Amino acid sequence: MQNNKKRIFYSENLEINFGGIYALAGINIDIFENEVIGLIGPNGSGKTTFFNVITGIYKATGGHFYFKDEDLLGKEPYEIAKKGISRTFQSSRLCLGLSLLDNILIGMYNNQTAGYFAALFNRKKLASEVDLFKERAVELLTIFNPELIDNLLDPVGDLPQIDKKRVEICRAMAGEPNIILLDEPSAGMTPDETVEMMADIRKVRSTMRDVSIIIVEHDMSVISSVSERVIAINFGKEIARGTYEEVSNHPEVREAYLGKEV
Amino acid sequence: MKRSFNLIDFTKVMVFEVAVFFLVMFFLDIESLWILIAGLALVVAMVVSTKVWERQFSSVRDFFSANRRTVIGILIVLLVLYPLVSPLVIRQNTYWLLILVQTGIYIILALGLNIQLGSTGVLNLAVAAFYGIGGYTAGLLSLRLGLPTILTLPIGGIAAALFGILLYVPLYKTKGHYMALVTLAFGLMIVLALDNTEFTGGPQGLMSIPEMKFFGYSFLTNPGGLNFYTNYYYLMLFLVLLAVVVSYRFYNSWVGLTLATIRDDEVAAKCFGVNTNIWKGISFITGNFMIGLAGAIYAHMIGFISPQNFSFSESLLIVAMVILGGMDNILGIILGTILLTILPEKMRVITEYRILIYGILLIVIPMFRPSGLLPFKPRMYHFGNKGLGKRGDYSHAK
Amino acid sequence: MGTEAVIAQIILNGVFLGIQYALIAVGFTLFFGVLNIINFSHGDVFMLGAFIGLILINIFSGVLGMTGGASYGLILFMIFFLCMLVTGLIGILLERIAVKPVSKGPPLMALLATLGLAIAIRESVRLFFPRGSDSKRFPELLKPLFSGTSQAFEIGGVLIRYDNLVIFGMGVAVIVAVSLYINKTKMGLGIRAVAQDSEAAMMMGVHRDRVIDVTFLIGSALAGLTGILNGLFYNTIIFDMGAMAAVIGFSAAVIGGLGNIYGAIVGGFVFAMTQTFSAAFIPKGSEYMDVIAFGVLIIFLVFKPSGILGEKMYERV
Repeated sequence: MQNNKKRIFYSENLEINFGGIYALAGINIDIFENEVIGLIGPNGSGKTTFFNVITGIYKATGGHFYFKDEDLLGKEPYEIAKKGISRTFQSSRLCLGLSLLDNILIGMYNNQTAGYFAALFNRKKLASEVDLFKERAVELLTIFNPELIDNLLDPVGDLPQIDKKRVEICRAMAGEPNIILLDEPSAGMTPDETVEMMADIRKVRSTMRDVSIIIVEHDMSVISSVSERVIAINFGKEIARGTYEEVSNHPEVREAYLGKEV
Repeated sequence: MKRSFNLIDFTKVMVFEVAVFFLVMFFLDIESLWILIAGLALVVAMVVSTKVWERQFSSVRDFFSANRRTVIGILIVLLVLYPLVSPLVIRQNTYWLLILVQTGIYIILALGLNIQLGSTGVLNLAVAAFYGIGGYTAGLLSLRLGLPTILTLPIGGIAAALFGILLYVPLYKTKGHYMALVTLAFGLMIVLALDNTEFTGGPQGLMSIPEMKFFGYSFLTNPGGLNFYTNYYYLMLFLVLLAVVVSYRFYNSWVGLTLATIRDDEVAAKCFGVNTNIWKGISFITGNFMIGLAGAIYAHMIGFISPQNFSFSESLLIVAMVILGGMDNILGIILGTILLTILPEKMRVITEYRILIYGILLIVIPMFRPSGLLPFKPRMYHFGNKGLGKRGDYSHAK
Repeated sequence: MGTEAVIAQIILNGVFLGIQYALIAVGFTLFFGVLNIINFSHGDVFMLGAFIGLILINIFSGVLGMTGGASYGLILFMIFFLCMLVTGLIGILLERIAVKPVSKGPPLMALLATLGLAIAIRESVRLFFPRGSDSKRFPELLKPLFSGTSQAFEIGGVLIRYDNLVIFGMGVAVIVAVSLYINKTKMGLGIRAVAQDSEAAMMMGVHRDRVIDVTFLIGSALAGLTGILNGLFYNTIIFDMGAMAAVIGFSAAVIGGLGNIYGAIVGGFVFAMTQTFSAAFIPKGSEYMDVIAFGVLIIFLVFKPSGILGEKMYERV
């Protein structure tokens, strides 16, 4: 069904139980290479929880999920990041006191080879890596907003909301992951900024040929404009999947968002 | 592009530093409380104004940055010359030598704690206990086993690092407040244990710890007419410079970046591949080595140590130095430490109130200056004279 | 003495000690619940209470010396009440000056501020109270209440002192009162709401600032009373008694489960029992009992940080 694209990720009956409440109650999601999936659902339906489970922040209490044919259940976030899944966060999670550059550089952590001993005794090796990674950071920023280069060494906390999001996206892209999870990228943005954000997401797509993106969003204009297919969940379970038109017209989806028809 | 030697800049820096050098010596020598207070008020005004007039301060700072090598070179020369010049200028020279050496010990302590607290955000309330472990280890090794100081100093550091591993085993599972509590409890336990154990001398502690000796040269000898504390001064100068270099190298590297990310947002760090447990452990152990080393120096220099030296209040003092200076801000921490060690000595009037003042500092700094003495400076990853350049230097990339 | 009697005595000692620890622990747990910080200065407010109690006793010493029986008891009660009031008000004052300004920022800074406050209070007493560094004798106020009878009674080889019983009784009464307040009054509901979710509580119309003030009033008043009770128990007070009390107090609160009042009470008794049993059964135990108690704390922090009665908390991502 996915035109010969390889399936790189799938989850099987993924469940997580928080003290009696099933935040995820059996999720089966496939991700193929080079696609954009929209994940929608009302508040508390489990979208962010799904992200948190597949990045290892929460440990699933049932089911499995596989990335590149490897079972990642129970793995720590840092292990999963190494495999090639990265993300942005609803509440940003940038290091506000650090410079833009620092924030993007941490995205390349898995590529850093000049460690503890190099810091003390082999500064040349460190220097060449810093230069290399800095160039990449500059490249990434240029895609989204070349003006930001002037602020490369400024604290990221000083930036406006949309630029902060851009830095976050650069950070997520910097390590050249296979899957990027975007968690409500347009949160807190004005309508104009949201339009720019949609363009940014398309730029991610065009820059990184092989990346797959899952985007959680409440703003349907973003979902409809960037996703190739959409999955809707509620109460931790999938309720619909298909194109945006199909899903948005699905009765259960309408009910979840708007309430039962009187 | 090799920088050509600029005589004008060199002279500017030289004049500035030599002037400060003599000013500091006069400051140490002065007995009048009023001039002292006036001088302090001036310094406070300067610190406040750097925040208010950040732009002008920036250009001054850029000047010093550009001439970094000159600044540091001249500074080192002056510091080396100090014990030769000061007997001629300062009346209580011996006393101040001792104080400066103690300041050096505190700088190493603060820099060690900075790796844990400032860089990684691990509040190690047992810092004085590890200081004590270093001291007791060195003291016991030299008293009971007769080990030479060239061994006891690093072993003191290693002992503190090993005890750090011991503490870290329960520590890494905890977060935030709980982590601080575990270190607090551990620190108290160590001091209580030292107090109650015969082997470590109980409440009296260790006495008559041998002085430092390197290759037969005893640190109690008076080198060429100068006071014997001069020996300790030069050793401390060397070790402090070493500690500063190590701190800067860690800071300006992937290590510093990783630790800072753990400090500012641990979840984000984990999600980008950082094994935060291992890194916190590394930072804890590295910091402890420096802290233990400082303890070993202290033990040999003073000759006697007791559990009282390493109480929780002492930990709070060292924490105050890091907080005052600014987390992860090496220059700020050095300044903060100097302020908190030299000022109380200078203002003998307030000795009684010293601890009260530390308490008030701990209340006031988080309220008004949580980022510390000096303004923000981005991580520059300097390498020699290359670096990331000044801000706004990337127009070529557009 | 038979072994049962020995053990009973140890348990009894633990009980009398435990009620005091519980009182302090409850304060810590209240502060943590409402502000999410460990308020290190709480121990020194406890010390302040003891000193304020001493001052009040000295003020009323004349009156106390002249009466007996019921009116004596009444004056005692009034002293306790005044002490709680004054300490409570001081608590609010300190909270407004030093704690509230930093409570919204990074938790590290708030922690440091409370540490600084603790030091400031302690040193102020040491410096400004007449001969502050010396320990002060605390009068045996409860003795005249039992002037007719003996000071203690015995059950099966176990000695129980009347004045300790009074202390215990007062401690229990106060804890029950606080518990009732938290669970049955509107303000108590507000406190519980803010403790659970301060943002949601604010959206429901709860005045967070007022809740914090009240919490500090109650917590500090509790500490004040505990200070006097502690003085009556040991007959001596000293300016740095708050330091150890703080450490024990929040250790007990953590062991029982931070944020849970019943947990604080349980934790207080667990901590006390650990100490009394170690002192009795472990060689050199009385010197090492603090070390052992801290060891227990560390074990809890590592294996069950939510404490005996606490709930597991999930970090919001």
